Amino acid sequence: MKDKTLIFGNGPCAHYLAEDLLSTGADIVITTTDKTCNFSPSEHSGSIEILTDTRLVSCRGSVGNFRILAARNNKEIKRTVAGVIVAEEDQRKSNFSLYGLKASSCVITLSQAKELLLDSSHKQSIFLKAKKVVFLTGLVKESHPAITEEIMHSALRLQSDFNLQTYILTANLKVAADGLEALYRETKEAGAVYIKFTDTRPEIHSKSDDSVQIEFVDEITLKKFKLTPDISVVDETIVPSDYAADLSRILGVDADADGFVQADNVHRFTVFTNRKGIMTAGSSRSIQTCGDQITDAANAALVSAGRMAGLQIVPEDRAEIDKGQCIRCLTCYRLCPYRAIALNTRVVVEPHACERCGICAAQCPRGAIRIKHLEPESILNQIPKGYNPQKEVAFTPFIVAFCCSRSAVQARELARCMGHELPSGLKVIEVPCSGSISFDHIYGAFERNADGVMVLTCHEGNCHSEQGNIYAKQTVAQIMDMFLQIGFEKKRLAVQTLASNMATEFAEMVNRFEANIIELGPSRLKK
Amino acid sequence: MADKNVLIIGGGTAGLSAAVELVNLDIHVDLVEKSDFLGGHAVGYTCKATRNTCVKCGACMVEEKLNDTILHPKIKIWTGSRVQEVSKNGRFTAKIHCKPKYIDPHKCTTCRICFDKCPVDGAILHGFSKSNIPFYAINEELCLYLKDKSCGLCRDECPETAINLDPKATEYIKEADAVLVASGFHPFNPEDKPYGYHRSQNVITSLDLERILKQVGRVKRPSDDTIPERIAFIQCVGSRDSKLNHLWCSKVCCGSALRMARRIKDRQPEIDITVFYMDVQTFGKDFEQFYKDAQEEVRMIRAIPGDIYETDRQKLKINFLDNNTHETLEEIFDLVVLSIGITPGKDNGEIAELLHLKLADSGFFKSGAEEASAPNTGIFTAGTISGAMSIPETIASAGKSARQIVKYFRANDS
Amino acid sequence: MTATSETIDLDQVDHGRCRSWPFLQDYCVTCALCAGSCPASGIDGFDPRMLVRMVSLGLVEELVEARWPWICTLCGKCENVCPMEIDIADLVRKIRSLRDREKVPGILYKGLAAALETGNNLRLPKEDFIFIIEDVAEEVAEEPGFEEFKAPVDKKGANLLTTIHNKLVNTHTEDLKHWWKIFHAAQEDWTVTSENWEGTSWGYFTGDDAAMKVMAGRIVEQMEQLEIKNLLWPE
Repeated sequence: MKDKTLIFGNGPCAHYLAEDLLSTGADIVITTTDKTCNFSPSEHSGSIEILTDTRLVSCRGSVGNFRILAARNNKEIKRTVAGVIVAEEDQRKSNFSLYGLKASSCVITLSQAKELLLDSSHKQSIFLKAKKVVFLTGLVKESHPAITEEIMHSALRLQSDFNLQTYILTANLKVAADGLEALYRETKEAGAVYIKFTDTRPEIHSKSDDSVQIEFVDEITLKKFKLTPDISVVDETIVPSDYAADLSRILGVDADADGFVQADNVHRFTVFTNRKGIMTAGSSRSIQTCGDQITDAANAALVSAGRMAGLQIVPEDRAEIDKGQCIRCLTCYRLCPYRAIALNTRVVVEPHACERCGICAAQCPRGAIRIKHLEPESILNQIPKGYNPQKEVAFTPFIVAFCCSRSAVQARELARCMGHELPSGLKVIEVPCSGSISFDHIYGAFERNADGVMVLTCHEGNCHSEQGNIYAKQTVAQIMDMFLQIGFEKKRLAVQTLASNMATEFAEMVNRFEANIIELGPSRLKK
Repeated sequence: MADKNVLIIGGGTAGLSAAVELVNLDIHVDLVEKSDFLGGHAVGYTCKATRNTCVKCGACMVEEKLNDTILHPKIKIWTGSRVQEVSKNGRFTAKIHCKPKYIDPHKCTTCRICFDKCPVDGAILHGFSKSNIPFYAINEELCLYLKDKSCGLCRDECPETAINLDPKATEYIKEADAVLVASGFHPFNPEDKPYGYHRSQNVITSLDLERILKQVGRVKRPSDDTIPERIAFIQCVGSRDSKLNHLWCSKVCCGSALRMARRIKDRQPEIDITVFYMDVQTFGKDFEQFYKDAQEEVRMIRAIPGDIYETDRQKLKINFLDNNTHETLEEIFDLVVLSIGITPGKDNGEIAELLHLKLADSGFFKSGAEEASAPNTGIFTAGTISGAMSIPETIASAGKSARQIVKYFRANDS
Repeated sequence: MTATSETIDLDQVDHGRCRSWPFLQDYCVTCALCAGSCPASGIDGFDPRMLVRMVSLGLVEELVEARWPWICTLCGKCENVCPMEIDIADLVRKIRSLRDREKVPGILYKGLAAALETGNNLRLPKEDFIFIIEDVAEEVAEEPGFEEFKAPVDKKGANLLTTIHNKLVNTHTEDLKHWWKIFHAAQEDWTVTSENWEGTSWGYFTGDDAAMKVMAGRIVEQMEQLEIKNLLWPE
């Protein structure tokens, strides 16, 4: 396998990343939709190919062996790479309409203001002629330190070099980034005036001559003020680029609610996605400052460098599809959170991409998928046959708790350390992901004399398989319906969420469940 | 890189994250932690999930890094240990001083008998994670035996004879090819603020609250164990304060307070919560929605209170400016939580001297563009020793440092 | 929220007017700690945060003309809690100092004039003062345990000189006894002066630096004359 890394992007993060990888002898391919790329690395021992004006068409395969198909001017470009990193830049959406304004000669975006300040040519003259500049940020949607930083730098420049009066109108002033509090002070020393709004907002009017008039009540002095700035600089919303959204779709990588190419899930920290071998860094994964992007680049390089070692041996305990049983319904293909199912002539699992979550096996309508050591029989055999914790006098419920290895199992361990009292009839069965729980598991537990069965999963949004806990919840709901139909108490089954570091919650849940089962009495399915 | 060894000073979020990354690349790690438990401050943080939904606080990620660390054969863990001397001659040579090991981790079964029997509150400490092994430790400052040999209950009652109260401190010499300093931060001590911390039992810090929620799950008033009816959070305590020379925003406190407030409301909806703030900072990818929802559940007041006086039944009277009427109001609360800031680690000066590193004026280590040490010395930094950071930022910072170490090794090998 | 009716055009306001003042008012982050700590906040419209803000914006005239900046007692709690180290009490003094002296609120103006002329705010003659002191001292000496008590006046070489708030020799003479007894029990070697004994410096209070200097200067002079090293000035 050739360890080549494909980088999508042409911005600072992509360049830092490329530079970093090359410095340790990596082979990389940079691809961008831009027509030109002026990345020129310093001396290095790796190899680099730059593909400009190129768009991704498809990506097949899995980590170690991604088969990339791209296009440039209708010509196909094919490459095979071991890993992919999405490091596209973000884009700025102007917020004029949020403030009831339109772009004009005296209403500009923050990006435009920055550009003008950097440009030493005559374009800066709009500032030379101005006396008052207003910055509007965070008054409709919340602002962000990345934006505040740019505003403060601009205001500082305008106050010191252009001698104008700047006003910054905002709701919550965002200073949660390195150096911002000190910069805030510096701008005030230079004369910038900040007006913060809490329960009120300024009235912003655009006149027919394009000039802007702002009226507001200052919450601190309770005075009504009127302001007619010569230039109004309106903040922007930082969003992922359109191409990043495409990439996310084509690569099968989960995006967050705003379209950034990384699910909002702690398991993806720092630069990971749901697909092994595909990473995301810089502004394509979240709103980032310069420092963040450098850090991301380093993290992506770090992970890339460590990749090949893990691919030397093909794991034998991954999901396997029995070709005799498979009817190509594509359920597993659609459900696999890691996109580890490939549609070749047969439907196969790509072993390096498979994380053994068990969702495919649980959901396959033909039971055609098996994972070594995770078959329902293997799981259920952890319950010794004929097991019965029944004490002489009182009814001691036998409770089987299927516990997700990443959360409930650990919480249980911590509960033991902290000395929490747990039900004496509790049997914890570890599963890699609660998404692997199927009817077989649950019924099997009742068949082996359980009086009650719990399925304990990670919190929503915290599942490593993204949806495993949702499937578990659905499965349990379906089974409860079934129980209702056949007259079996559905309260004997419960599904709950918790975190790995919360022993108290674990103890509370199992103890409360035990109390419920005591009320219900022994299960009628018991032998 | 199997022949390479890194000495990591500090076993918190940054140290643990860096250790995991380095051993993935076959590099050996000596992880030295001065306290008895790995995990730093964050291991004591509560999960803040609300309505069964993760809010991405990152506390469970610290747990994960910790679990990965103790399982890995290439990581040697030194708890209760400090690095005392470091010299360089090609490789680094460090002297590691280890506190006496009172509880044998190989024998301890976490039965809790010592903890329950110990007559002095706080003389036996406990960890916060199942990966804190052993889960208990003797607090040298409070232990009666260590003071005057007047008690030996824990040793005598331990069914595994795992406790020895007479061992000696030990010292070891270790060599390393690089040193990573990840000794973390010091949480601001608000005793000198006019809020009554350590004078009023029902004035606690955000860190105290994290631990209460993690261990008990419900918030109770420390003075009488009853459920508070009204809780006040006060933000920016020790941050954004030029008088203290803390001219920075600690970044994480807004998120921590609002998430904890919502989590409390989730389990104990009858409690009224008020948050006194200056500017609410953005946290998490879904901040806009989170903040909207929070404002429905929590009363937000944009004024920091001046004084807190304790009243009868140890309630707290808070004076603050009402922005609507511009009057200064007095309100009674049952519990006050001070959102304390991230300040430079107490050992920063000592460590800077030990390794010839530069501190910024703030007291944190320099980072970023101005590196703490001259390039190519083999000394690296990670995490909150350089300034306030959230858990995800800290993990990323450790990853970056791990990468720098790898490049340093490659550059110096060729 | 009720606001004043007329709209101020910010184009006409010069925010840099007070930038050279040394009180750091521009650093204000409007945290409201000052108002939260201030015992006078909200009384007759006094609002320390508003005062700082108005100075920072350059809206000084209104502050100088308003009554509410005169409510402040200059206790300094605001300065104690302000995270930006703004000298708020000094700022109040500065605003007060900008008023023409004749426009200083009546009682303060009259009292200060009296102090400058006679050494105390009440124009209390020296003989009357001494009479009151001796009279009250006699009452103290009648109490058990204080038979030896004497109230020293103009004692040369004493260890401690103390000033007196004028109300203590006017309407609240009983209050003299409290600290006299403490001095006696502590065997302190103290004294008051028969002239320029006034502790309530309305020169300080009204922002009149010149008057404040005069009053302070007189006290220092007396310390030098009487060769007293220590001063207790409770105001």
